[in-house]
Amino acid sequence: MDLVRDVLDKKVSDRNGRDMGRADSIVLEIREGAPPRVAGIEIGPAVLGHRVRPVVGRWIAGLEHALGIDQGRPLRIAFGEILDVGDHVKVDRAFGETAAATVEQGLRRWVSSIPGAS
Amino acid sequence: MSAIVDLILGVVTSIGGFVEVGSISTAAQAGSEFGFQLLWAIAAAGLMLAMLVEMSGRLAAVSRRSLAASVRERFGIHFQAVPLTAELLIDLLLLAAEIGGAAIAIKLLTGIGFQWWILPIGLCIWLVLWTCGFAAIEHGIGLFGLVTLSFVLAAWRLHPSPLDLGAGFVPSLPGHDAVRYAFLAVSILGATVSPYLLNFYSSGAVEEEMSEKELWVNRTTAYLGTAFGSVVSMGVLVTSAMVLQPRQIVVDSYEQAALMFVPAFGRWAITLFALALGIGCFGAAVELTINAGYVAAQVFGWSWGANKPRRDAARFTTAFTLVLLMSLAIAVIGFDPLRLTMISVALTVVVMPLLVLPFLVLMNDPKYVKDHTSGAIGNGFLAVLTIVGALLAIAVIPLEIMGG
Amino acid sequence: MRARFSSLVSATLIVALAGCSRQDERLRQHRKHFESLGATTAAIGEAWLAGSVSGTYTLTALDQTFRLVEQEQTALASKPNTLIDPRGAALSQAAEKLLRLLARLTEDVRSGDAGALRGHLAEIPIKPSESH
Repeated sequence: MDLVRDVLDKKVSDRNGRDMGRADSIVLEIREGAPPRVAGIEIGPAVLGHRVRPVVGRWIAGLEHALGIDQGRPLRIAFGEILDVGDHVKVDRAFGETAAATVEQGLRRWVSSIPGAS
Repeated sequence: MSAIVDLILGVVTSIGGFVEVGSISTAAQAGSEFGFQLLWAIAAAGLMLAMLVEMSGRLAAVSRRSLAASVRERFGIHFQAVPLTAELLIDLLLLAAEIGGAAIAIKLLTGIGFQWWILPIGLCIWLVLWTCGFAAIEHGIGLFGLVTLSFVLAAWRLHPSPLDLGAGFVPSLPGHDAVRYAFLAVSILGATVSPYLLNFYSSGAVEEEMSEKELWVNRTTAYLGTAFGSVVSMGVLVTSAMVLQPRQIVVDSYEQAALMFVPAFGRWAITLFALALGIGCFGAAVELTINAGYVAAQVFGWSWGANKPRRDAARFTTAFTLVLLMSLAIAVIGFDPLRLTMISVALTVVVMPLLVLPFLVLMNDPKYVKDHTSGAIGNGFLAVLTIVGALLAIAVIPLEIMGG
Repeated sequence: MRARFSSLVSATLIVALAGCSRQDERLRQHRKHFESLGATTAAIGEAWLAGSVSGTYTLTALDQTFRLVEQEQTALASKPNTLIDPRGAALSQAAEKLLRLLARLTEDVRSGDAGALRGHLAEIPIKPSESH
């Protein structure tokens, strides 16, 4: 598996096929006297921003904190929870139960209040 | 049978949805100042657009991914951050210009200042996106947009000389204002090959679940639709050349441009021009708005789709709503839509190399297009367009300052 | 010494000529736009007289033309050198006349006075020359 080609920036979907986001970051575990190990992936705008420029990542993390939506973010998914790496990355999670759904669920409340939303 | 129906609808939609504020502005100015001399620029830009649209559709049909999603996955966020930011900025300005163009169309009919119409038009755009699925949006815009064929009808009624028309398709040096001529040629390219069109088309292909079996529909729609659509743009230029150029009226406003319909349509002139301008701009504004949602959702991996209930794609819905609000804020300040248009088409040319370069890689990557990779012609075209695009990107800002 | 003096004179002449040709080009562009606006005024008035356009459009278009003339006049006046030039001064005066004429034409359309409008159209102070 080529981590950059096959995992990084790929769409991530949950066990039910729902879009969770993209693999915005890959987490490596550095081990003494052993090669690095892939610990998992992270999903979240702060880590994505950090890849572009660390200051952008810090700014986004600060904004999430100010809005009170930083609990459990960025979402980290352990490598062992990755079910499949094909067209996209499928993980053994349910989107609605993760911090990746915080903003979507929050915005759904106001979108649903407008007639015709469904 | 269904494929034939799709093809006919696709071509008709392309014709009706082709002309908008950018193509009307640039073609009207080109015709009024240089007669038929810039017809070749519209033809060349149309061919470029057709090739890029076909590639966008092919990419979407085979990889089941839109252009924006493919660029994120293949190149990563470091590369994409620059063209993404540039595209969103251009789309904001162009959307404000389209809304302004639609507002001016209503002003032509009512006499009421265009700024009063900005918010109602914005609300109409949002309501269309709130209530309609992709097919209704695309085909509705295309069918209503057929009123823009009035430009072709006007040109035909003025009986231009076929020889003079033919000469216009051969690039030639102008007899005056060479810098202005060059600026308009480049602007026509920027107005025709709008970045949003490519992602909108590929997103539509994903929404409509276009498959590899329908690649021939994609190819035919891209080339035929763009060819016919370019004829509408040429209609604007020819009409402007036949009516405004002999009187040496330089198009500096849409009120002036509307005069081009008077000899052909008499009492119906202003109504037809206003309808063509208004519907063309409104349709483009709807596409630009939803495309902003598409791009944000596809890059960040959110749920998206015009065919999804809006509550099931809340971030996508919020994204296009926010972009629409920002553009309305720009438009309501009262910036001249014609000036906004010319700035956004110039910026399009500046970022064009970054938009075209990914195609060179994606269309040759079997992971995305399987065995439907581009041949020598496609790759040659992309390479030339990237190099020419890079040269034009350097030249366009000085040209805008000196000739804009 | 003589050679140095000649070089200085040549350099001064070149700079002066370049400045003159820039001035010429600026004035030519301003003239072109004023002539275009004069032609626009004529086209709008003729279309209204022929019944091809409504009063609503005519007033809108005349108003927009008025704004464009004002903008062009402001651009002309932004470089004092162009106003000192007799050609620039003539253009500025023609622009002023065109503004007043546009105001009169607007009144003619509002009052529906075709005769007065026809007369005023003949007074457009700046239009493209026939030779073009």
